[in-house]
Amino acid sequence: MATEALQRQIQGKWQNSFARLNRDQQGITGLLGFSESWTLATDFLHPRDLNDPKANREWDMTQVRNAVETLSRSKMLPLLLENFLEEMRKQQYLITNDVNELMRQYENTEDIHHIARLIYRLLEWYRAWVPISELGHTILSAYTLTFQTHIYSTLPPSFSRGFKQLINATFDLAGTRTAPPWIPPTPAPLQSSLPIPRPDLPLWSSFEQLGMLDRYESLISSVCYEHIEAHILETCTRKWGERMLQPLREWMTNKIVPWMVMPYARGARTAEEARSMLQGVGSRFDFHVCKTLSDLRTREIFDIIIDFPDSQPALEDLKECLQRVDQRSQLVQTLRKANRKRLLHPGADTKDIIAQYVSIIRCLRLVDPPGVLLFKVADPIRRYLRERPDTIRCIVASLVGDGESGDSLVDENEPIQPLQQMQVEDYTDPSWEPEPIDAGPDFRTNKPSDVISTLVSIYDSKDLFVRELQVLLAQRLLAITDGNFDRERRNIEILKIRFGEAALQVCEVMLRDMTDSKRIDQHVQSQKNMILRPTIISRHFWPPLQAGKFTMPGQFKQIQDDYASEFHLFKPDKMLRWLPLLGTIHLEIELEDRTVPADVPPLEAAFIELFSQRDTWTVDELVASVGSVDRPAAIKALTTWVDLGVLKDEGGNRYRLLEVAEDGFSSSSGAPRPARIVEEVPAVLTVEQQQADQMKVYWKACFIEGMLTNLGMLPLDRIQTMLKFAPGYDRTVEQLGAFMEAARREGLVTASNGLWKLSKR
Amino acid sequence: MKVHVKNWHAIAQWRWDTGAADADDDGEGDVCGICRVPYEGCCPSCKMPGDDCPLIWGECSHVFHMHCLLQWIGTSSSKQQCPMDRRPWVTAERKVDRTNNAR
Amino acid sequence: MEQLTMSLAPARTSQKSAVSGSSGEGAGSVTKRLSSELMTLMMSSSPGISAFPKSDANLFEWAGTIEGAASTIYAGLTFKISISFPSNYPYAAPIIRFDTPCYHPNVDIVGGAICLDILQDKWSAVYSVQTILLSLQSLLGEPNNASPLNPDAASLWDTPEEYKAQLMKHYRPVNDEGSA
Repeated sequence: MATEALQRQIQGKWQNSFARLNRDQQGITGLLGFSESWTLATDFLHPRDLNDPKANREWDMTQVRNAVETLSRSKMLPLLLENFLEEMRKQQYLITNDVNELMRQYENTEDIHHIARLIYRLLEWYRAWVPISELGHTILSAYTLTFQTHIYSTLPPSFSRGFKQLINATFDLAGTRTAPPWIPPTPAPLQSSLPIPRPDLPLWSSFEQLGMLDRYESLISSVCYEHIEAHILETCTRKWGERMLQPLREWMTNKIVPWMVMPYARGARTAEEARSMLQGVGSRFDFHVCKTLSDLRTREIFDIIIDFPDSQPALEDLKECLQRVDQRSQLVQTLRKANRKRLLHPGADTKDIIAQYVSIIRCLRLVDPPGVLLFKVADPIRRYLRERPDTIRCIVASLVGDGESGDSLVDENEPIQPLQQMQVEDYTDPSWEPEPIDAGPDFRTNKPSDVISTLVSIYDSKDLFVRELQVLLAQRLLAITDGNFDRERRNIEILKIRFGEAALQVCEVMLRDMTDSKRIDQHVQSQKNMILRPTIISRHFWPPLQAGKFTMPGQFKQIQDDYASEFHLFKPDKMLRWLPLLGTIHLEIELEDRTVPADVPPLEAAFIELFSQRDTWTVDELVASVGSVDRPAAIKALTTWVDLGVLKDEGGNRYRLLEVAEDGFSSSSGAPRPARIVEEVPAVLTVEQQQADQMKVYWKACFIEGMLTNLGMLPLDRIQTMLKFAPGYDRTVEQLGAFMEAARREGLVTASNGLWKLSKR
Repeated sequence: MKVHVKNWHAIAQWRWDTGAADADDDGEGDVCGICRVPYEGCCPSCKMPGDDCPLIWGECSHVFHMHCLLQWIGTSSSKQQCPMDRRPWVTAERKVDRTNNAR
Repeated sequence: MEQLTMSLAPARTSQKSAVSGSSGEGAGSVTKRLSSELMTLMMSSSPGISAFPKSDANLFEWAGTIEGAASTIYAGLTFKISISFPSNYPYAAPIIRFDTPCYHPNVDIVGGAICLDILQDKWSAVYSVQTILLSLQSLLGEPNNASPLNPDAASLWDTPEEYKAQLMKHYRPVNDEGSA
């Protein structure tokens, strides 16, 4: 049963096949016709050898079409295709040979003409073997697929390199009108559709026909990316004095967009269409421009900041780029790293660090007005500056326009304004904006404030600045001998605006002391002509001054007493107390053979006065005569006169007056040089010296013990805020924490749950 | 040898002549018992020391910033007494006669 | 160095005094004086007495601690007090009360009010927190039984055992948690 059924089935199938091939014609006429058509079609389709001239024969296309028609009716087209593809595979070696040959030439020469030739040759093969359109779409795509599969399996890896070079060459081609000889002329019909002739057109259409645009899409765009990068590096590196982004975008419009038409919008029929096709890829390339420029400026940022304000255009570019590409964290990382390496090291001057910090403030404000970047970059700088002992002095010096360092920190254009505190956010402020998303949790809304406020805020309290200011002012005022302190007055007026009148009250008293001294002196001089002109200061309002305790001898004492008497007559309820170490005396030492003029500190004057009583003194005798002076100071004073040739060191701590000059100091050998002995020891104790003492006394135990005794247990931050009652306390909460930890180890305090209390005694 | 002084720029501090013959030289100095600010400083109402914020002497020999004492005397609880010894306050005339008024 | 402190330390208070104008009657001059007293107190380390502002925001309210002097009946006991300064301090006395219940002839056991002449009619502008604390410390050992706020205590004063029993009955040791 089964066998019979099978036989019937086979029989039926055969009948069907026959009927199909014979196409219902008489006998086997149809079959014969089919056979002829098959032969003709397969002959026609046979992939011919381009190198064999005989293979290139003429075809009667009507006959070919009829034959295809016949095969189609017999439903034999699939078989024809199969046969054709099989034939192709047999002939593929012809293509392989060409590929190998041309690639070999390219590899030997690195000349992209060989790549172009290869492309055209492949296209020739492709065209030579392409089936006619009557065979239908299926056959065509199967053919194309098979053809491309073959060539891509044949092309060696070096082809990518050559192809990239070729694409790269198209940037130049896109801009020229005449094609190099290795590019065939563009077919007229295609050419007419273009507004300007494009010599690279045939190349692109070849790529497309060979499927290369799809296959090498990322390679093509990478060529474009690299082209953009190279252009930016070449035109923008270290060029900070002008905006580059706009010119770059113009360059894109003029050079890159026209080029892009070929790979990305070739099929466009209207400008409108082209524009929409280019939109996506154009945006990608614009992004790349911004990214490349932003990367470049980020790498250069440290030097750009040094160059500020000349480099402002570069920063404006950077700002615009950063709005397009998110490279903010890279910028922060790079700048922090550069700062660490180039700025925050022991070799850098505090002055320079501050100057660069100020530039960083200005630059980053420009790039990022909300201040997130600045906050992140500034933090390590501020911490570093806080550790440097002379930071406040440098800032203060620049505040009052220290002659040597210039006043670069203070921009004349920046209005003088009161110091601004870090502000608490005010949500009712209509201009309030949320913090930028990359602001960290510790970001403090740092409303754009002036540079000075930012610098002062490195420290928790401005008291330190005022104190340093007081020291600086004292040094300057005490050095003034001509009574002109207009400059200092002006400075204080400006600083009052910044620090507030109350904070500078002390300086105000110092300035008034200067005025009063002048007034008092005018009165005293009107009563009795005096060579002494003192600066009379109010104790408690000047920084601690060097208080020596020696007594001026002889005529000096007389001069002081005379002056003091006149003063007391003028101000009956007051008296004067001289600060013997301070001041300058202009003297002339009249000797037998010469007169030596000298500007000296009081101790020098005191000693030489003693030598007018007798010629030889020992150091100890001198010291005993004037009172309490330490030996090094005494020796230094004596050395001054030895250097001037007035005294001679006899050895054994003994000094002798040279009434007659010895060799080398004879009066005839030259005019006596006027000596000016500048006070080298600063008269005013520095804030650091004062602070070191203060720390010992106030900060330690006393206040903390006091508050813990009376308030019980306190958290660290509470202790920190309460310590503001301790004058001059300026430690950070971290430093306090370390101190408390140490106290805990000593058993003075205990801590639990973050609360500190005194140990039970 | 002769030393000729051509000119001399010196630095001096002024002190109130309290009669307490320079007992302290470099120390803090006496403070006003009422405001606890040194005599040569100024009382809390003042900004400038010296002539603008003078001292006042009592017959009892106690000394205060004038402004501080006047304010104290102005309160009813003072009963017009010196805050130090609670004797009736009598302002003393300043004695100007000092032989050796500056050292 | 201290002279600098005197003139510079209360920078923030001097700001206030600038605000309060030149009259000097404002809070500025008082906080200046209170800061200076705090300094003195912290530096002096008198045994058994101490005081500190209750918060950094208000210098007019202090907490104080007094230990009973050795060899008195209060020896070994610690008392907390509150000190409240008037705005015209030191021209008027501060108001002081015991926070720790204190059984004493001159102290109100309920409210902690104190009867001490220098806090009332004998007040002088030259007195300070330190003077007051020292006076209170000695008051503990030497009560004024003539005008008692707590007549019971005054009557028991001459019988130390009974007095001590009453004292300890009312006394509550200083508790850290409650006081901060």
